[in-house]
Amino acid sequence: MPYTAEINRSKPTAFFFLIDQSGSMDDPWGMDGTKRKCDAVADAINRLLSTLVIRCAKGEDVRDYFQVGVIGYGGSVKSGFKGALAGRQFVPISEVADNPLRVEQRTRKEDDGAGGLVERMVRFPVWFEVDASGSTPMREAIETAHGAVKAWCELYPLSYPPAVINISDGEPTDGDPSRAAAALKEVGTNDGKVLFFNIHISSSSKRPVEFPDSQMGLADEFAQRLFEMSSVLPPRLVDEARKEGFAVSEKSRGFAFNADLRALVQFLDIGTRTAELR
Amino acid sequence: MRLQTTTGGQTTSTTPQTRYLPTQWPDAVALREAIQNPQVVLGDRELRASEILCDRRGLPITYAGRCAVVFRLRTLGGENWALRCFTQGVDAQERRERYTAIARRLESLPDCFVPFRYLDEGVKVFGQWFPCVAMRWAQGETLGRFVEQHAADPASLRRLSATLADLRHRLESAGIAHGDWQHDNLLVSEGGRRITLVDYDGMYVPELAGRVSAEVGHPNYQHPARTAAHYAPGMDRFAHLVLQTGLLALSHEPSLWTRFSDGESLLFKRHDFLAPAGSPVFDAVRGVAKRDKHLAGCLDRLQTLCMDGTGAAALTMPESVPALPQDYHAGALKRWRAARPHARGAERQAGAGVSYAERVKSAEAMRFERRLLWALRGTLAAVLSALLATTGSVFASVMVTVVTYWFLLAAGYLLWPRVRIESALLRDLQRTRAELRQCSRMDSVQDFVLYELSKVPVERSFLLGNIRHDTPARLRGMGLMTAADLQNRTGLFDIEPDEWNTLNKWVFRLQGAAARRYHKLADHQKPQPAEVAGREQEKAGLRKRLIELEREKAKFPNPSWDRFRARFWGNKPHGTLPI
Repeated sequence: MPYTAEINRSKPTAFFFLIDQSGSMDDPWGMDGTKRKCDAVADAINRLLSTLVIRCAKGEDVRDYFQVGVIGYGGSVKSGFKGALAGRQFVPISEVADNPLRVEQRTRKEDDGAGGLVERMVRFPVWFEVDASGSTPMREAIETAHGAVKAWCELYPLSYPPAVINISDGEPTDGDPSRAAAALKEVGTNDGKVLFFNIHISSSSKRPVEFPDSQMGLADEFAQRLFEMSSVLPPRLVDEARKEGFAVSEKSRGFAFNADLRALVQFLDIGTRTAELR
Repeated sequence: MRLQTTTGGQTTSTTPQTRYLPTQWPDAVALREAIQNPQVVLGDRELRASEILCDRRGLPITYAGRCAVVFRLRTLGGENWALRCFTQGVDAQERRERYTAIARRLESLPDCFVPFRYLDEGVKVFGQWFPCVAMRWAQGETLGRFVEQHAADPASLRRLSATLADLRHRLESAGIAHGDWQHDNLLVSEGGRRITLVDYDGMYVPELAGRVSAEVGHPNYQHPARTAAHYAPGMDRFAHLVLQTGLLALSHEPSLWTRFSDGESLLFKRHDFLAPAGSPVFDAVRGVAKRDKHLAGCLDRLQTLCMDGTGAAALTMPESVPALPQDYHAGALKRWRAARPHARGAERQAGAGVSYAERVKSAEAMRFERRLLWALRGTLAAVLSALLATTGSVFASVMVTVVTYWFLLAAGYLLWPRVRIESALLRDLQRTRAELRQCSRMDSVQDFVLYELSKVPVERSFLLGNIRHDTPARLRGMGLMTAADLQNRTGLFDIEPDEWNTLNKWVFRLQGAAARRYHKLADHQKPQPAEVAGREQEKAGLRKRLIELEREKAKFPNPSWDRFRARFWGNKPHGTLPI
């Protein structure tokens, strides 16, 4: 049965993130005007990297169950990691854990239980930085991912297949990415084909659609194309999404349209749940 | 603030009516953010004043479980506690009842479990209280780590296996089962004589009879047919059998560890249980079992249970784990060949095998050292007394003895385990450095050329003039399959020089063409052959190994000549030595 391989240190799985850093990401978020889209996406990715690190953490020892790659596309396609990890493609999660760009002190406002708010400081590791300029070369980004993931799959033919997650807010400026996406989805390991997820984030305040199973109700042609490009969820992820309260069916695809911040974080979380880790 | 003390055996708090919807449970990141301010977010008064242990970047040290994360706290009094916060919800009420019942029952077995208390108001996240379990920090290392470090020490493995058998009998006679025996939940201390169990989510105690299990345990230790309905005092038997078979097999053949363990199991995995007939692990252990009828008994039993599709036998049979004779673990062991992992790859994969410093301290090495020193001392005494008795000249005897002493000491030093292990460490260090250098030297053009050449089979050389028809077959016979294998050679035995010249030129042409092709490619078109990614991985692995080895070297016990002389004279400082 596909998508059931055990994940262990000799058979890790991989996640590859494609992040839109084009000029339009500088605009405010549709649902929450106080935040720019690029800030929100950077926060979500950094939070997700923390989640992945914690999933593999046994004390100070972080077990290499995952490998992570990040590329950004805005103007051109470039590596998303900076600092010690700059230019690396797939990085074992223990190295990710060891090399955040910096650890920021952030304030969190919280309910003090008496109707007021208290502020407290928390430390927040940052790997991925905000950047927003230039065009949207999505096709090229997907082609890059294709090359990287193909090499990875040759290296780990028995692993749980890698997931590629694309986060964007608009139309590509370098032509139709469908062919590139189809080629990407043809790559795979013995355990199944690569999973390709797409998240469209919004400037508008239209109702979000998550894990749709048909094109019905998707606003425009581009949304429909992204839906077509996305992989059908394997049964395990269907269960996970249902557990989190999403309405999903067997034909649901890994696609979110006009996602808000909460949906983005949840979608990323579900998309990276793999065969059971202990 | 309510503190639910279960160690006292009495429940004092009122039942909260909160039911948590699954989506409302905080995730691990939210919990890690919250816990950074223990004085604000913790409910328990004692823990609120404690310090949370952090890594070098100031982030709380976290242990991830399947449905909980664990943080480590140190109270003002210096006690260590583990705070287990749940990230997935079953009904809070249900979980509370279970933990209360378990805590009450565990008081009868304080040495196998750690004291804990269930806190209704454990941790506050998003302005809401969530329950947690606070447990005293358990001493010891995980069973997985223990086996990794003692893979070449059969006595420890058998001692551990005896302790496990004893533990299960004690639990069963108390009517308790843990439900999730596995490498991370069994903490081993006192060299394998003591085991502490942690993670009580799936425990069975008589008060919980009639319910279903909250979890079904680690798949690599449970019968494939085990479900939540299997919830009875016998539910640890299968896992015990898996552990006992694995430990006994390892005690005969340590190399099984490097072959089959990847840190997620003790040799056997779920797919081996599903199909024992075709499983390489079962095959390998069957080979080892020829040397030991008790191991053979365990293996047969395990195989029979695996064939039984219902798994009921694993729970209900009076004794599913064959008992070993009393003197089995203590019995004399065959002379042991310290097993060193053979392949470097396997060594790295198995977490670098046994540490060098550990090997110096291992029972085997210590015993050898003791014997060596006594043999030297004995020989010296014998020589002295023999000389005194035969020659009568005290001066001559002493002189000869002194010479003999230095000679014996020098010979003994060469045999000293510490010296031999240190030189192995240094060799390993040197080799790893050299490999890393070699690895870093390769650049992407060379990679590309190598990759392109590896796609050209040697048969294609047949098209060249001046090549005999059987040359490609002979090359294959020598293990040279592609043009890449012919690179960087000065000549080949059994190949005529002029033929070799032609081949050499051919390879050279291919190299040039590939390099030109590479330079013509635009940057984004440059392929990413698996070798490039593979090299990156290998480099990362080597770098990690190098750091580990450097650390080992730093903490390695002093192997100097003076130290050895001091040991010979019973550890006295060397200024007081008579010679």
